[in-house]
Amino acid sequence: MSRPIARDTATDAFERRLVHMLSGALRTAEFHERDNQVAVEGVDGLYRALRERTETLGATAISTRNRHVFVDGERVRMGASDYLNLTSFIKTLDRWGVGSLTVLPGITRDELTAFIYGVARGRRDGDLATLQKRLIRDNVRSVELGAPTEEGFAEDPESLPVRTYGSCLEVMGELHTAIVGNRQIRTRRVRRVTQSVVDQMMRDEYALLALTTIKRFDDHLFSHSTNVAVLSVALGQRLGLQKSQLGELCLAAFMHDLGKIAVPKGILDKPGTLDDHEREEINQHPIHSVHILLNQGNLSQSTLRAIIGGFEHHINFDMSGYPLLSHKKGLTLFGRIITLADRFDAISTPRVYRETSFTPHQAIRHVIEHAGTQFDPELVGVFVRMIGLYPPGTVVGLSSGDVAVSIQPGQGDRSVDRPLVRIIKGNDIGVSRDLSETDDAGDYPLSIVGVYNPGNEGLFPAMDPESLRHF
Amino acid sequence: MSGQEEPPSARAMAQPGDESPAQMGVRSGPLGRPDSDERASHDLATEACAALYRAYRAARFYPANHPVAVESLDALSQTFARTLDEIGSLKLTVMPEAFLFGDQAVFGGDGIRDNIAELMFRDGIRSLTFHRGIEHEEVSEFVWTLVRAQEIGREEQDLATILWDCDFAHLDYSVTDPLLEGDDWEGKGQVLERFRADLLDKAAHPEHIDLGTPTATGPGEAGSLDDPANSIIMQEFSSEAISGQLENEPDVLFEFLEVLTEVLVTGSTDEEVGSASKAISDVLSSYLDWGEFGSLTLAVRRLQSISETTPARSTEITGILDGLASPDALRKSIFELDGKLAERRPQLEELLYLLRHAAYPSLVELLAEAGGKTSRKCILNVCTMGEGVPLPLVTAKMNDPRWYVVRNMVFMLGALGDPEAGSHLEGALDHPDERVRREAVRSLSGLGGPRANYLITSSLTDPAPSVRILAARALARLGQPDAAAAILTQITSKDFPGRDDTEVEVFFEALGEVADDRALPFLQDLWGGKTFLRSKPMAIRLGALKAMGRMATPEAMDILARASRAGDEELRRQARRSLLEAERRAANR
Ligand SMILES: [Fe+2]
Ligand SMILES: [Fe+2]
Repeated sequence: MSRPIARDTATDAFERRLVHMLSGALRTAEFHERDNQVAVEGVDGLYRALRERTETLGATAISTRNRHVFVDGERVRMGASDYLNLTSFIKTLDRWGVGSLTVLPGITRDELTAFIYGVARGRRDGDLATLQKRLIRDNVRSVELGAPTEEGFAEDPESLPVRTYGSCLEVMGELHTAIVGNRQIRTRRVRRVTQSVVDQMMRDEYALLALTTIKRFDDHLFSHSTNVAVLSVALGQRLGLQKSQLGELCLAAFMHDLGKIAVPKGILDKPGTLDDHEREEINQHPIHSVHILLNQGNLSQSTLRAIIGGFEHHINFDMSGYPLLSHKKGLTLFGRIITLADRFDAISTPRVYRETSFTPHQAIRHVIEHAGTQFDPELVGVFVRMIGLYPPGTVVGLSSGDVAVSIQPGQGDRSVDRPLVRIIKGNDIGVSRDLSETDDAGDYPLSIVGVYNPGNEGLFPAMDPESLRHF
Repeated sequence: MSGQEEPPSARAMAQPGDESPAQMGVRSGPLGRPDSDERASHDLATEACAALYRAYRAARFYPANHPVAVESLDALSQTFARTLDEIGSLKLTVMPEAFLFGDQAVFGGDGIRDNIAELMFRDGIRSLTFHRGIEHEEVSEFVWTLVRAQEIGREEQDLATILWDCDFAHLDYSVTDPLLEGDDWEGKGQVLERFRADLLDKAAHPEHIDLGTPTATGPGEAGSLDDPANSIIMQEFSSEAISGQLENEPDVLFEFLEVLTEVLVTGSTDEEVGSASKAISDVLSSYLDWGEFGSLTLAVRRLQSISETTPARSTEITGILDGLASPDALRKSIFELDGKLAERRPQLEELLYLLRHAAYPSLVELLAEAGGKTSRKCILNVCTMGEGVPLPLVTAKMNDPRWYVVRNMVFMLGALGDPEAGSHLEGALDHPDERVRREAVRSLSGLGGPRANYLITSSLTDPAPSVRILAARALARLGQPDAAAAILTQITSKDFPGRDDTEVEVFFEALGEVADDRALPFLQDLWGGKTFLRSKPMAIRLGALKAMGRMATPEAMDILARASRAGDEELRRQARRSLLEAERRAANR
């Protein structure tokens, strides 16, 4: 449920525009050089706005907390359409550990440009002190940075995604036991873990995505459900859904396959082809999902969405698939998102009934080929830009002779087919390389020359073993 | 309001047995006395917690728009604003029964009712931080969230999950790790253990993997952006359009209903079909409850068409629609037509007509109870539309011991306009309650016809004046010449002059409408007031003149002309008025 926006005064609109311009300038700076026309115009506009405000009202502080942006302590009201812009802005600041920036009166255009490029072109693992040093070096004196006021988490933030992912597995185990024993599901617990998935996703989408590459033979339902939840929320976030919508989406995606618990395990895991009866049994699982959730008593809006998602997740974009429909004409957005996430995870997971496992690269190819028939093409486009053509977990051979695992799309403008990778075999094991980075001549020093199917499992875990330190 | 003054709401809402936290002797912190600056902050924090508690209590006991609830929320907003201006942000540590500010208790204690710290602690909240700039809507939403958390089913939601949905800008909170809580269940921890082992095994030892042979990729090949098949990736999309999609989707309940009807049709087990039917019933009654008659009509149409195309499910669908059309299901919606739903009558009528075969008995039942005009109108409209409600349903209620039930049935019979209804109304004329008999006269006059006229005429002798008056008026309106003798009999009866002036007047008026010259001798006699013993009462004499004015025959006018020279002033005036009336009527004939 979205809360009503109570106020939209002229000043508010000005602050909103200011944040938009700052966010836009930062994004432009990621891909364009300082003398690029778009970049120049972006910085010019921002400069004028900042001068106007600082000259009339003095130093201007822009800060973030709880995924909201504040100008001089006043929250800037954003509509649904601002969300994506806002998210990218907050992420940029988060990456540096910056909680606030204060622009002082008298800032020069050069300072502003240096500031924008200093922040936008940063390395991923930078921190506030690094950034401050860099800004001093670049003679930026009129922008002061501050640490976040948000309460830190008691635990090590590095291990949080793993804990969240693990909690999902655990809660799915609990759900499984409850359903098999014909007991009431505790959706409160499911909500708690799915909400923390959303929180994590808003903090760092690739940390959780990397964890979806741990494909597991046993407890397949547990990791599959978690993966579909993670992939759906990641996609939903890219689409600009709001936090509460992401919460509902995550819950629905997490529970989409509960109906499989009602299908005999012998059929689910049967190697080879299924006979008609067995196929029919499997095709009933979306209906079983509906049934299981219906019997949970209270039907809140999020449960309704989960029921709808569970029912729709094997119906294709062209309305083929199962269950067969008697009159239903269209699919919900959540249904289409979950279908895509579900299919991608299913294809890229090694299964006993498949002789050759697909690599994530083949899985994304399959998704692209079936855009418009199985999948909503618009969603496919966003999905591919999110995980790239070498999705996390893809094992690639590099032109250097090293073998690496893809972690996420690279930072440069050709990031979709040039991922950030971590070397797992060769000279620099453990080192990360961004294949979209160019050298001084504008060439790519490193390229992908082949894709491996390690151990016929299709992929290799993409997350950094370091992140498991405290787990 | 001055800074130190207690808000009036705090006094207004004080209830018996309800101590304010300030009086409860907040526990002092373990570190002895704080210094003066700290003490000032501590006092502010104590005051803010007390205001929070008061607002929470007010919100629990009063509706949102009640002045006490509104005032205590305003007071809380002001207290927060003052406190946060002073100390920047207010961080409270949540203990099982108290809030700590720093290491000092600022709220709580044993035996406090509705302890908000306890509520928060129970649901895993371990700290709360309010930041400067907190908005009134946030304060209010926070308080109402606490109230909701107290009332929701804890299997579904808790304070932590609903706070999360609120997404406050100026309020942070920390929650316990969901992994740490929760009840024990068979296999707890094992899933996680296996996951941990797997992770460490796989990710930590990449050198052991068997890579196999790579498939080559390169520019222009599959996987590269240069592949035209990948053009889809570069298509831009509008996030506004996507979030718009979500907002423009039919409401989630309707989508849900679509799914349920699919499951109803395709479900393979009795259990599945049964749970889908039940859920459909739930959705339909929610719609009914919310007055969403339009959506409900669509849903009912769909179910009815499925029932036709899928006979195997017609039993379930009949069951669903019967449930929807039961008196208990319909009661609230129909009676709310007399209140806030008044303007939705046409939609509800459409729906009820769609459900009529199942709904007729309920409608008859509810008509029995219906007090308001709009609800009765709605039921009557539906019951009289098309072929109309089967008569036996209505007549079966004619012997109901409740007078108003019979009255409403009588009303319905009249509205149905079925000539057969007349015979059922006859019994109602003998009903012990005159309100029923009055309604029967009204219904009969609506029906018309010789039998109805006869019955109305017989009511001229009803023991209740109000019924007699109604009957006389009905006869006058119907212009029944046959009734003249009966009216005259009443007028000339011995007790007539003793009756109420209105009745006397109405009877004479009625007589005037229906009588012919045969009545004139009696009327002349009456107005003239010639009796052997004493003169007739004035009301009778005036009434006779009035009646003749309405008859407007030449003979009647002759008499009136003579009467207009009468000695009595009042009679003279009435005679002249009646003469004018007679002339006007004669001219219009
Ligand atoms: Fe499935
Ligand atoms: Fe699935």
